Amino acid sequence: MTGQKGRAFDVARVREDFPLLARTVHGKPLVYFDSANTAQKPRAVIEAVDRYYREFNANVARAVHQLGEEATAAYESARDKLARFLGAPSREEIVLTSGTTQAINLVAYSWALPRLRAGDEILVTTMEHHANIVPWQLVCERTGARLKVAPISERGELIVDRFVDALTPSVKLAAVAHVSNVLGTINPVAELARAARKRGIPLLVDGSQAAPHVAVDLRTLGCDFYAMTGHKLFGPTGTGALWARREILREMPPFFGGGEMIREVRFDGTTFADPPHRFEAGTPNIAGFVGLGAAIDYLDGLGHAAIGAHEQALLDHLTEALRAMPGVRLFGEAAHKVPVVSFLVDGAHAHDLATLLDHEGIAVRSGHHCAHPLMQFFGVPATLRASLAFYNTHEEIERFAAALARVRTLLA
Amino acid sequence: MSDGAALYPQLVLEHRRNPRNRGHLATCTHAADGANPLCGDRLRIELRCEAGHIVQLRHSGEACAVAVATASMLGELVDGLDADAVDALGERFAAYIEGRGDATGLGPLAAMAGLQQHPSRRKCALLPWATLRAALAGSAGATTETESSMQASTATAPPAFRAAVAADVDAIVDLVQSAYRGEGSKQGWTTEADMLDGQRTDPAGVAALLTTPGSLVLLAESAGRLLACAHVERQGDAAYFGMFSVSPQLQGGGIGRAMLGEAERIARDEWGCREMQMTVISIRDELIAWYERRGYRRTGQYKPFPYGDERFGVPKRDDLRFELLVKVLQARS
Repeated sequence: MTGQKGRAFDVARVREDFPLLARTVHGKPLVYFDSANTAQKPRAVIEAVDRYYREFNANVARAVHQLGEEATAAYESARDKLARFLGAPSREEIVLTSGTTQAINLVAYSWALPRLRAGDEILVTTMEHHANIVPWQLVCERTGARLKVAPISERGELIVDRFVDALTPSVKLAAVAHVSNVLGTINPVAELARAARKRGIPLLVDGSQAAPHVAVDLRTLGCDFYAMTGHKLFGPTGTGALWARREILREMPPFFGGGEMIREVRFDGTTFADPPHRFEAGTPNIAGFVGLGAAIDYLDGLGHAAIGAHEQALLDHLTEALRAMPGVRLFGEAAHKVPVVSFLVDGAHAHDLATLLDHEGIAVRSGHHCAHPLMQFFGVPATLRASLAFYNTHEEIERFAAALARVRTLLA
Repeated sequence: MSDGAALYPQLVLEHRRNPRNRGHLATCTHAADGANPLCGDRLRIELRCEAGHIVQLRHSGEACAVAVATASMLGELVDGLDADAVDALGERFAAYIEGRGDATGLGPLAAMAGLQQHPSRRKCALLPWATLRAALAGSAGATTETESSMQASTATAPPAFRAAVAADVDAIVDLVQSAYRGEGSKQGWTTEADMLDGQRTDPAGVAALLTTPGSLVLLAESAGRLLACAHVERQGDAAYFGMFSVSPQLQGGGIGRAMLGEAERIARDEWGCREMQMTVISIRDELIAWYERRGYRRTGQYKPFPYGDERFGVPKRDDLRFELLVKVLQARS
């Protein structure tokens, strides 16, 4: 599955791998610009899930029969693939979760809650998704710790100096998005990690929006926790992972230890004693992880370099098309971005435009994108967001721009 | 429709461009702010009512075309109606956009038919209705998003509940007085200032509740601040709920609902009671309506107001009486 690298990215061929992209919406060919919300799935993923249920559906917990062996092997191979994909030093450092939200909550409850005291601080940034805010607020309420926020610039870039200045001795954890889900900004995570490490402050990185677009190498990134989700990475929903250094995971008590209904979930101490299994109580999303393994294989086949070049060209094209339109305000013009563009059109409400675009077959998201504080920073209640993936085309951007120009006149 | 914009027929776009009854009233008798935090939409409705009937309506705020056009259209439609008629019309509209009813009586709102195919946008059209009904009910705010999403986006610290002790008596008396009596209580909608003067309760009264067996004064606090209180008393198979007070500035924010829920939980799960009872001054329609939305029903059983006993206040009118409300507490499955 090589041969793409170094050559022009054949998007037409890639699109054939995604059955859903061929459908129409309201009689028009679909333009799917909502991949930051959830990505479409390649045939390889759909077929892997289908094959699991048809051929080797069994539980993964110590089943001694052949089906159990096959299911366990497929499930655990997703852990191997994730470890390799993220550049993790060890597969034992990959905890499989239902997604980023669960991964961050695991750190909040198992790592932060027992450690934090009144007066301690957790540092986040203005551009965080609610999933990287609310778990920390809940920990703060229970410990008396405080949330501290590192600001961003009007261009939508983290102000690195201010972030570093905020790493005071009272800060016991810093948590930052690798890539902003609203602005598309790629944060300089390695630089932030170096600054945090120098001060002995662990850094958690929310990698939800990064993994689909940028090559992640945990060996060089230097953070202490990395949370990601599978469904934005072209895999099934309900899959994700937390990576943490082995020595940190060993110190963390089980998340679901001894709580009410959780006690009824099969939680076999013999099998699940050590990390990462310690944190994987109950029957996991086996089919989902089989699918996620297939998604990673698929991405490996395309190659990050080829994807990256194509996505950068899409981003430039989309940004220019929107800049050329009068009365369009862009949010987030960072130097380093993934193809995610938030914007508003003068005199038109985001939801109205999203509905009208939908009738043109174009799927974009409107709303606050689970980032209220960021909306407050820009002083807007909501934005429209076009978020692209490698399967999008320049022709789709042209259709989107033409449709936007047309439907906004309806509301003028 | 060839342009596909079934949700935006010309009439809707026209009302959105030139909304009727847009603006503010110099003096209003009723007002409420509606918000759908997930959309970011905000809508305010101000009313002037005479003898319970709407004579003027103004709407303002920032919202999508569907919400603005609905507010514009309904203003014409509800002119002269009272709260019951508005409720009935609102129900009819909700049924219409869900495809459960026809457009009879809905006038220009028939143009909202496109919502039948757009479930995700129905809440946009329901926001003006919810705000209007909140204004008529005397509530400060409304939303058409779920309670859980509201709480996630507006509540920073959920209240913590605990049983009051003797040291809380003065704070409880202050809270109860602030919610029911005097000018300050008019910031909230639980005020009885126009019906009653004098005190609602006193330290001796509260202290007595604290020492009564099977009785509990429940407090809701956040960050050390007393937000709400209520008295819950076990009376055999039933529990009695009273002295319910929410700080006037915090009313309409869900604290009262949480408090009532906690009291019901205690009565049901800890005491094994099958019914919650309360008595409400019978002319307080908006308060009774609030309880009815929470599963209480009127019984038609009345108790006389304790005229002459100034421990319960000094009535400004002579027609006050209490009505018994009850709710069956369903055991948790």
